[in-house]
Amino acid sequence: MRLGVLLLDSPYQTQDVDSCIHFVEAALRKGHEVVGVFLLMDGLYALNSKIKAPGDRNLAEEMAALASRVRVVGCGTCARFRGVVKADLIKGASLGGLGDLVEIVEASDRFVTFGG
Amino acid sequence: MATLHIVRRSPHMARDLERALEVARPGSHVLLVQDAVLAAAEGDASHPLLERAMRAGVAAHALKEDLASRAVTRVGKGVDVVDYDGWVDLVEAHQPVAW
Amino acid sequence: MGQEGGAHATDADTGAPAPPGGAGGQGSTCLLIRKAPYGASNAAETFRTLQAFYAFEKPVTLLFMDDAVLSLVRGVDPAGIGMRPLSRAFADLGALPGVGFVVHLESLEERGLRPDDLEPPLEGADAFRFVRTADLEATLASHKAIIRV
Repeated sequence: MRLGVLLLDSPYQTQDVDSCIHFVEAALRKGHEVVGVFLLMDGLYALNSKIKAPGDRNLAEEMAALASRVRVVGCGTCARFRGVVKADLIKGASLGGLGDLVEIVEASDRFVTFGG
Repeated sequence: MATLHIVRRSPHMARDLERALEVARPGSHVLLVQDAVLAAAEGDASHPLLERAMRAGVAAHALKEDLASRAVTRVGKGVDVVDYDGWVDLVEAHQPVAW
Repeated sequence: MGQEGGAHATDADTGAPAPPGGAGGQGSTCLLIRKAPYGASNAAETFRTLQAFYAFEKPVTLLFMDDAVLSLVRGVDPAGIGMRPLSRAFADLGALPGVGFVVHLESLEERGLRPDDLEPPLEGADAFRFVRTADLEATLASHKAIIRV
């Protein structure tokens, strides 16, 4: 299957970023194609490379690991509203627009929303 | 294609599960993840709601890793326990909607 | 622009599931929105997402459920909370080609609302479709993908 994903929540506040990462990793492990992961609203905070998580899982690092394998793009407007700038982004992720979300949805067989 | 209703919030804190089960038709599926796995627990006050849906032909699944993290050991009869791989399989087989 | 009460025809009595929005069918996307506007930004984000599908000429259905039905309600005045009203702008989006609006009837009824409490569609535009719970899953299933902001 060609999978598209939307992530709406920030890391640590809820379990949704964790669930999203575990789900996408499982899909990749099973040989599925992940068309892209789009981040909207507070999901943008998951792309912040400045995250430090002493003694705990580092979700920005986990997202970066994902971004090295699949397309990870955040909504630029949402980033602006949250003060997340390009220089902050984890390696492999990019800032785009809602057109990227449309593209991902249109190219997917299955689309799953996390958070919100 | 059947629908896979993915529910994540606790049945004690939100109407998501109730709503998903009102909408689900016989032959569709509900997957409980995160706090929603509480509804899979035999002794939970929300479990009868899930049981009623199962009797009406809705297939219920719950995520193993979330059950373990909430210390749910007595999973209601008829609830299918799946892991993340199983979640992927369910999404592949049915059209997902996240509540 | 805008009409007095009675602007909404409803086929809820026939129990027919709403057909997919616009030129849709199996290829269109359903944007499901459940949260109320103003108390959370999900409705405003759904508004922008809908605009993007329209801009890229992809058919899309907006399905208002639970508190999200308030996104269309008449008489809102959010000036006192520092926000702008969404209802009329939302209703106008429903007039765009390729865009279909579906409103969950029970969600209105639970809130003491009727179709006539909502901003009407633009004159000449397609009516909003009102769907009951019994037909909701079929409505969702008639789309290629369901995004729930």
